[in-house]
Amino acid sequence: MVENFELSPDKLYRKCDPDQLGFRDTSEIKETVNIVGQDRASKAIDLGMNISYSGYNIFVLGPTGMGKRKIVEDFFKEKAKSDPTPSDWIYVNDFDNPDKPDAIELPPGIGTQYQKDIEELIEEMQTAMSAAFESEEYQNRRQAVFESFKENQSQLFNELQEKANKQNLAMIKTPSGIAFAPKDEEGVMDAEEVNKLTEEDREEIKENIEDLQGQLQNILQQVPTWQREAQEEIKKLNKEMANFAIGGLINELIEKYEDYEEIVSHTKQIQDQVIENADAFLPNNGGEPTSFLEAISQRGDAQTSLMERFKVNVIVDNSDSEGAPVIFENNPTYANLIGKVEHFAQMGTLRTDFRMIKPGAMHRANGGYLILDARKVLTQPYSWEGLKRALQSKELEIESLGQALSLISTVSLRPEAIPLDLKIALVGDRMLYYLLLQYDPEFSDLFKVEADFETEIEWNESNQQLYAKLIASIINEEKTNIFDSSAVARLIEQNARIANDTERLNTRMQDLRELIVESDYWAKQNNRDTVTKSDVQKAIDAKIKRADRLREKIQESILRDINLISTKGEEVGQINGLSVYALGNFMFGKPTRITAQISLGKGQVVDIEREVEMGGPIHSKGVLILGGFLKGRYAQDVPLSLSASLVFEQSYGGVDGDSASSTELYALLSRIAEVPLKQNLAVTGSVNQLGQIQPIGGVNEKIEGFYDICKMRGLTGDQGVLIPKANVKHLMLRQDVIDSVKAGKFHVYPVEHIDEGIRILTGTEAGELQEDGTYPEGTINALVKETLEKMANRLTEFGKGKGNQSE
Amino acid sequence: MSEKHQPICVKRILVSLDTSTHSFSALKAAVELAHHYEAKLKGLFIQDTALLRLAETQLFYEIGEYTAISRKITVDGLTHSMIAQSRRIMRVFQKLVDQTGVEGEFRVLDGSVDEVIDHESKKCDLLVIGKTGTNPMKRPRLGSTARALIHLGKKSILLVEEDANLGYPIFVLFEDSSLSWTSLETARELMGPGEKLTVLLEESPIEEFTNMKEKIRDWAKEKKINISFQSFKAETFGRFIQKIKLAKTGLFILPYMLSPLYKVLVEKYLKEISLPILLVQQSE
Repeated sequence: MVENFELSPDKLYRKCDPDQLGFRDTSEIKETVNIVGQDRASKAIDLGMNISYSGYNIFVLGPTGMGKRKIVEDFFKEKAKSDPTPSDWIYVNDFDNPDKPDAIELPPGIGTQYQKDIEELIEEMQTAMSAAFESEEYQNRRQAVFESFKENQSQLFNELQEKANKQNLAMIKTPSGIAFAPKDEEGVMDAEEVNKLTEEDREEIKENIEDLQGQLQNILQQVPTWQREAQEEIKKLNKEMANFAIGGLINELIEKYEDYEEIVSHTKQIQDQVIENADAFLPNNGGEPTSFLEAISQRGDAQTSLMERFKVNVIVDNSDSEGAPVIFENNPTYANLIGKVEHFAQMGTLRTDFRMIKPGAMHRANGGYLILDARKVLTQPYSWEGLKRALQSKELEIESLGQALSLISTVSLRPEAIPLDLKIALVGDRMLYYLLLQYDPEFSDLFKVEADFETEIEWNESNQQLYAKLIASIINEEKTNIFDSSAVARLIEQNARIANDTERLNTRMQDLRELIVESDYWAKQNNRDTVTKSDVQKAIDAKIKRADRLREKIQESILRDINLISTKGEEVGQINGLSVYALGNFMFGKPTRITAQISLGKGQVVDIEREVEMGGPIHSKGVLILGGFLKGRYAQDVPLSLSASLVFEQSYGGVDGDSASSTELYALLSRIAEVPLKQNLAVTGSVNQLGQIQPIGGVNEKIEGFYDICKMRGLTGDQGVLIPKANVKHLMLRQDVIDSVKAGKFHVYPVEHIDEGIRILTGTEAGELQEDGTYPEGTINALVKETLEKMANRLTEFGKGKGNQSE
Repeated sequence: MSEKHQPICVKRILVSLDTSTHSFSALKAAVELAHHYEAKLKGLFIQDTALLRLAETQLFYEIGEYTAISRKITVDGLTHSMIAQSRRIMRVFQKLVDQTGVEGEFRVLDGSVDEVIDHESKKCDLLVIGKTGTNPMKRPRLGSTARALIHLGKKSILLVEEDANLGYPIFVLFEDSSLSWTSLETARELMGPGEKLTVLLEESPIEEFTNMKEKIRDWAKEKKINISFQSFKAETFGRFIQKIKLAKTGLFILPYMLSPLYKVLVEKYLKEISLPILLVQQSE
């Protein structure tokens, strides 16, 4: 044990004093706080939200679970309250180009009102038109037209009949035409009777028949013209009746909407259409369809299909909105974002019209704010392209993917584009933001504002108060039981632990929210109305327990001596390193045996991990630094004539990071000096070429990892961990570790330099360089230098011997 | 008096069919009546042998009704056309019969139209025919066959014009004869609940008119039906006909045997009426 260096228990944890919080429980906190320590991001969102120039959309970046979406949504909602309510948008049929429906902008609420009015108009028109066409006036006038047509026809036929009679000829109807035949007093003559006639008589009859046939042909040729004329007349009559029947209804509507030019124009078009297609309103005979084809044509009954075309499709309805909309689209597929044109199946074919146009999130958010998850937008096919296209063109053009990619060549709709004016906030992680910035040249033009969220804030008194309020706000929001001050203090401490820093607090809202909800659960399990510190601790422990299957397995293999770790005794060239494993959000430490071997060589330190490509570049760098340290300290007079190899024993996965470089150096020095290292200690920390110990990550987990093994084997009282001094401020250790330290059963040594560490590990002074360039006898440095010099000499001797042999 | 008189008894209806629109209206009316009387319906298509004989002459050419093209008629061609026509008519007949559940049969016979109908009508109680056949001339509204049958006057006949439908109002031309009472009874039987029967009565001589009116009123009271009277003089009958001239739905019932005055009136105006006309004859 090296008492002088050891950290006192109070340095191992920063407590949050519940009394300093200023409340007994969270019910006393009335102020709502939704955001803590996000000053930079807040200012960015504020700028993006208020600046009206194009391209000032916001990319909210930060790790997941920060509550970014909620925060940006709150900002937007607050601003939206004072923004004007955007317009309604409707689609109506373009009667000249039915495949290009017209978009009409209307003040909020007018869209649905007009839709309702048109529905009523359609109903009233049907009644009015039926009444008009069933009226006696119409029926009589129509009949008169037909009568006049028939009169014309029959008059000519009568004249022809009379002529025929005079010539003793009968006019006869055959199955497909009309014929003339000779007759006498008894009626039409048959072939036999005709044959009895003289040649002259027959010739005369033939001539007469030919003459009458010519006249009949003339009459029949005129029939279609008369029919056409009669039809025209009927059509004119129909239009007149229709105009009269619906004129009043239409004028009423035009008067109501006189301020909206496009509506007036649409209403007039409806009037024209009804008049033009008045025939569709004629009462039909209501017969049952006799064939499949007839059934289809009746299904698309002319009147219904005409009326359907008058309807109004309200694509954006802001009748109930106050202020601007704030929309979050959770499933930003291309269609959900841009809108789509749906189809309906009819007799095996797909059909569509303007009524099947469906809005997307951008329609609903137009004039307001849209929040999207960047990752989802990017992973949905063509959503990102569609979003950018709309933002660039500043208009929303609904186009199916099939059309956009020219995959479908059938006729579909191309609705008129709608002007787009909205703010978009894309919420995503930093990696996505920087990748987009790097690889999408249009991105920076469209998302000019980055709102970068801090993952931690300083743990000072004012932030601690703010944090407590944030906790209280979440408690209110989640409607959990109230938390007493000790529970809040424990939550704050735990968030410092998550931040791995005694001076910082984690701002990842998801962690905090989960812990609050789970603590509440445990309080309720224990029938407590108020959540206490023990409930929070239970929640923390339970969460760790749920995640630590792998840690248990590893610990088990160490305890069963499958994974060889010594926690007592001394060994030359062997040391306990510490590594950290991360499984999702759960991190844990594990001791690893590191060994060193040396031989004569050319001053190389071989990293076995690197040789087998199991070591990452940072690890290799750390090992190369060791060579630098050895050369700098011991090879100023003689060449470094050793070859050393270092290995993480029983490591079957990859190794990276330089946090074990000091550990490796200790093992190497032990091996060179032939001085044993204490196995009851574990070491972490990186080292530079000057031998200074530098901070590492995961210090708490590493200490706890070694502590757990020692504890399971039985604490001997001299066990402990060497950590970089710079990591002391990061210590937020578990209570059981602190308790053991308090009891003198476990120790944490902060180390600044390699010389301090080697002293603790060997019990032997490192030894300072003396003026004559030597180290005091018996010190580690002296032993190392001595060995290295011997090795240099041996190598020289070996070289000479080889030279003689060759001679 | 009315007690002695019964409506016409209709058990078998014969409808003569061709491809004209009049004929189709006649078929619809016949099916309705068959349904009403629960009578058997016989559809008849006649392959006119007179036409076939004509086709044997070298003089026989026809002018296409729509195309106005002149072409020679052959016996074969004509026969095939007639068969096609008969099949078409049979399909329509069968469809209507099936829809209404009426018991019906369809026959195709050869012969002279007038003779065949005359012969076949002997086996039925009511004959239904289109007012005008396939004659291209839409007027006069009484075709030769119809006229011939009326003259024969052996059976009750229903004459139906194109697009006309059986229905209401029902008019009955009344003179104080036994057949007039049969007509009234027949009208009563065909009336729907709540409907009103209009009786046409000649005004002069006034005593006779009042007398008849009284008798009919008593009859109506006894039978519990609504009636109204439409009085006319011989010279104003035309005016009444003008009023109902264009009506296409309803029924005009008149007795077959009429006094000479009425006969003149009926012959003059019958062709003007578009409503279905039922000429009532005493059942044999």
